[in-house]
Amino acid sequence: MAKKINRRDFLGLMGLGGVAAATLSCDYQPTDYEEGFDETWKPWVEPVEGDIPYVPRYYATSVPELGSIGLHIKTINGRAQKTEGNPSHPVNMGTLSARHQTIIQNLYSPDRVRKPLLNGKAITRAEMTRVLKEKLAAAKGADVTVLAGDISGATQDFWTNFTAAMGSGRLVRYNAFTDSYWATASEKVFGRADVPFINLAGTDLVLSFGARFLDSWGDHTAHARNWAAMKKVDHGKRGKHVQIETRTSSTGSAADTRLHCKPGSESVVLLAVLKEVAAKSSKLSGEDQAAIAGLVANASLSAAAQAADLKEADLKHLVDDLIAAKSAVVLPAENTVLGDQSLAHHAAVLLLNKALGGVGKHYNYSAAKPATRTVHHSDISDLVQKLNGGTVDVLIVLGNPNPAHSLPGNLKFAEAMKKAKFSIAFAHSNDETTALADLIVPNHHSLEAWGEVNTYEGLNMLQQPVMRPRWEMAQAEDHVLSLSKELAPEAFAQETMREYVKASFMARFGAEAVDGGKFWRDSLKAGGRLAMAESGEDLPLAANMDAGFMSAIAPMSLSGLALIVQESPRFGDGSGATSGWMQELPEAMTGVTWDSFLEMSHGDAKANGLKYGQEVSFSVNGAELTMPLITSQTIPDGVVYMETGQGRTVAQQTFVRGANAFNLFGGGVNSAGVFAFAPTAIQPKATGKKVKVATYHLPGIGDQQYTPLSPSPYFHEEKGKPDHRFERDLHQSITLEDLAHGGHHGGHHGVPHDKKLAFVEHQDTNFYEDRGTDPVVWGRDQKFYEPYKWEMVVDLDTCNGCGSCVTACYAENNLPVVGKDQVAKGREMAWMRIDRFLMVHHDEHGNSKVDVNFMPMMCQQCGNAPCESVCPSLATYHNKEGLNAMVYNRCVGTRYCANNCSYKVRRFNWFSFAWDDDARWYTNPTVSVRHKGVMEKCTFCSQRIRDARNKAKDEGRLVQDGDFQTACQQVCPSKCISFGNYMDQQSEVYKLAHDQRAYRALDSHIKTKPGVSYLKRTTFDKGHA
Amino acid sequence: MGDISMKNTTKFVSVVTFLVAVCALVGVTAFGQGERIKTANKEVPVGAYAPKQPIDYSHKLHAGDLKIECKNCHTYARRSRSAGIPALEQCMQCHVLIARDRDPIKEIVKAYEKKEAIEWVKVHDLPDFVYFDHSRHIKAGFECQTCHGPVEEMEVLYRHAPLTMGWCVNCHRDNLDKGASLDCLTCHK
Repeated sequence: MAKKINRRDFLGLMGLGGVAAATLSCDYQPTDYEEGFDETWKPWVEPVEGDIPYVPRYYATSVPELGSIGLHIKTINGRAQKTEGNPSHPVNMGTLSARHQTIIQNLYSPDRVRKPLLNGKAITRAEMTRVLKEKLAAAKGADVTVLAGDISGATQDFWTNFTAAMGSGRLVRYNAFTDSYWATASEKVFGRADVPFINLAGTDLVLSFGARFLDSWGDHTAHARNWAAMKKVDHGKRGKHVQIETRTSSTGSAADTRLHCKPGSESVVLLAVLKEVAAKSSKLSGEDQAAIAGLVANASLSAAAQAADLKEADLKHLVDDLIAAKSAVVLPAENTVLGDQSLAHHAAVLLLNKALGGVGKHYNYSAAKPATRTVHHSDISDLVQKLNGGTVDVLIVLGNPNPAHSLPGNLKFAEAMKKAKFSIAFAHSNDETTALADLIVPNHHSLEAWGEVNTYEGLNMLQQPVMRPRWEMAQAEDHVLSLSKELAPEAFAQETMREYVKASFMARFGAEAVDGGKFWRDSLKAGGRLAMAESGEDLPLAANMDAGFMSAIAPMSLSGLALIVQESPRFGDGSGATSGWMQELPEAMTGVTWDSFLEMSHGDAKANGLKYGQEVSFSVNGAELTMPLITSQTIPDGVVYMETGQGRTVAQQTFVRGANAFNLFGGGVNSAGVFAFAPTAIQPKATGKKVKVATYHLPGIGDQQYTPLSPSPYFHEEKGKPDHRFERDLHQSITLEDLAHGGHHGGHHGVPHDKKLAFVEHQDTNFYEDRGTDPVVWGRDQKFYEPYKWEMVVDLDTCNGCGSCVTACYAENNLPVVGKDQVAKGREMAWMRIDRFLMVHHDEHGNSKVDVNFMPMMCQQCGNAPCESVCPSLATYHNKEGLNAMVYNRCVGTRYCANNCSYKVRRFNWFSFAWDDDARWYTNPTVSVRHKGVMEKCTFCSQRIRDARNKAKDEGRLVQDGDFQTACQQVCPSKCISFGNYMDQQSEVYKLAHDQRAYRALDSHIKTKPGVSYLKRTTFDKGHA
Repeated sequence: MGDISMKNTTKFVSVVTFLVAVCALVGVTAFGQGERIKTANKEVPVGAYAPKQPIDYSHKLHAGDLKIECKNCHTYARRSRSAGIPALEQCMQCHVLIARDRDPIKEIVKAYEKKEAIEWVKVHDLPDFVYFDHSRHIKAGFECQTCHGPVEEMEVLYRHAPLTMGWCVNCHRDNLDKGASLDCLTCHK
């Protein structure tokens, strides 16, 4: 039985090169105020080399569940505390999305498997080893099948070797959202079954047929970065992003042009665009042109426009833009809206990119992922058949791929798995699949284990333990290695997985290294071998492309409401649903937390007699789902939308919520070899129940800047007026034309309520003059803002509302997850939120169109703060460095400050939120955990400022740009947040604050002198999108 | 990036341990035979906080009579916010040879062999909402005794200073020229 380590006994830390023998560590600060004077301290028995208490250490690693993402795990006192990105990783370059950060919550999940179970009963470790040995020995020579997640590299080789040595079984890898459709499509088009690395760098036009490449699709952190670079305005010009989609997504909201097409018509439009572009392309040979023309002979723009309910003129315009662009990239629709058209669609996207000259530069096959490393859904589909046939002797479920949750309901995986003669789960967490296994063996979490992640060619990322495992357990590979001496003596030469990974890595890359030991250590430090080819070569079209396969593309005939199902950026395949951070992060468009939801337009709801918050049910493919209805202004009529990920059943009770969208999927793989959903007509019916939905935005209640989600007095859609909050110009935009003419106040810009107040010119040098001459304390020789004034600049042009910053703030500042009931009362504790502003346009035909704008909102650190003047206990005050400081232990909880805050960014602790034995492990010891009755808010990561200031002081200099980043700035994939010292005229933040797009929210109305500047969103014309 | 741990950690540690132990032994023996300084024992003042520790450790003996530098054992004080309590291994560097016959040392040896940590009671303990950084104060040139009192004279360690906010702020106010800050955020996190 695994012995639970007493929390105070804490972790010793693994040195990178070997296991240090330390078993104990320094104290773990209790995270409440109750620390009395009788606290004790247990020092190490043997100190760990180089470890200093409270000085963070960073370990570079990668984990298979996140794919091509390099991580830096911050550890303090031997415990992994925060997930950060590896800045030298070519894909994410130090940034992370919200879901990537939850890997740390998974590590400390209450769902972790802590003891071995045999048929549901706890057994001893000796017993577990005995059963394991007995069952595997009995199956020697028979079918031992391993079902794993998206493992790759040496880890994949290990299990392939193992299954081969054991008998006739094989390694089956499974991941609900695979990208193997690229491999099948590439084989069709280029005769090469690889998944290209899609690189948007250097593009000037991105056309996406629905892929939400900024927050969930593909390598979205890299895409967001390159997309942001594309949007950088240079001499009044910048690249353009066009999104053709069915449901307004956050990626579509950030696009310059968003066209709504009817569900199921993306491929038709794509084909018509391909025909036009190929005919006019100068980048295709005559032969290729003819070949493509043959494939798309039946397509036409007018027919496509009709089928998709788009204007033909818009499509023509789009074709012209594509031809005129220097380096356009086209991205496909998401696989879950394509159904059987997936193969043809992706093939057509490849052809279109070929016609635009993007193959090689943007679709890079020199850094491709070979088909052998790609997850093919046909594998698991075959496995289910084999299981049903009863030919699997031992099924080993490795890690937590969880097909029982994310396989199409029709496949009935749970029943099939029961037919294996014996099933073993090496699992770190309990889930639907491990619950079915006969023997459950506790496994290391990915952050505690050795391995290799090898997605794209040249990207060999090493996975190393960042801390000692939480409980005395071994990783699955080590179990196997200890048994393999008897079971399969010829299979492995090594005794531990660490040695195996090292030997494999060194044989491939370090054979010629002069100092092998140093090479290995350097590789671990760097996160592996990160040497992707930056661009590839243009590939010739396959000679034998058969003309028939494009005929799969036809408009889907759908009557009434068409349901589309897409991957949730927050929950993914369901693994994110057990994270409190993800449950509490609002869905970008609807603001819903903690629930599944069915999104429908107001018009459709009215026509169907449904209302916001009603529980509705509908059935598809024989599966019936029930969930609350959310009406929204952003979704077009005729479309209803739901997300995957919720509907977990084996998890902590808190996370068992909503409905499982995978149940709706049909059982078969499509022609691209992937399980796919196709838009389906549904008829939702009210069940009669009403659900209280917890959204971040409370319609009409106490909202100062909140966006109403249902019609409220604040929304004057009928009168054709914009949301009145635009009159307060919180979110501003400017047309590129106005920008080129130097105007600061173009775009959607209201008039100050008090007409006498002129707009403040932030170029004024005397902006902070009055504060700047005040002494901090009368009679002392200290001035405000000398030498620092910390300021932030947020570029609204490149914010796509992904919420990564929000989650980073939770992780850095010990923000509690409050639960659905509290969120419903507007008591979420997020210091940073993404506000969503809607702008309704009406065209000459009376059609309305909604623009969506995102605006990260955090404490503005006002120079003239409304909150400070009302605090009776002086708990909040303006400090010398321009921070609106908040002293938690001085706060008596009157909440006057929150009432007086113009930005609604102060959060009150209505309760002392629980940091249980698991959650305490990832609290940040440099930030206190606030308790009941205390107000809290963003302080620009003052703990990071302090560390940087101290370091600079020791070096006898001032803090410069690049010394540190705030938590939100660090993770932002599109790098839309800048932070620094405003008093340093060389700093980025000073320069950006004087950009002609810069404005300070509400400043022109109420003179709060915020320390945050926003850069206006730029648009191509008035009434963009 | 953290340091790369070395191969042969154990070997290295044992060699160092031996060398240090030998030096210490020689030193202590010299003291013992010659002029071993007898520091006056400072009694625990009435009402001072002096919790009972699991081992009767004497700062007077180590820091006073034997003149071992504070930072010799509290090694992290220069580098971290926490001065740290030395790892058991550090005790063993000397006590692998010295004073093995005494009861407290026997307990230490026993704990070390069983790899069990000794649970010391913190004497100078600040509430969780206070951020205190030892390294900043050491770098500014303050002696440990400024806050911790005449530790080298304490047979039983007690809390010398009140560790109240007023006490901290008074000192900060007097040391503005050394870069002390009066900003609340300096200590309150």
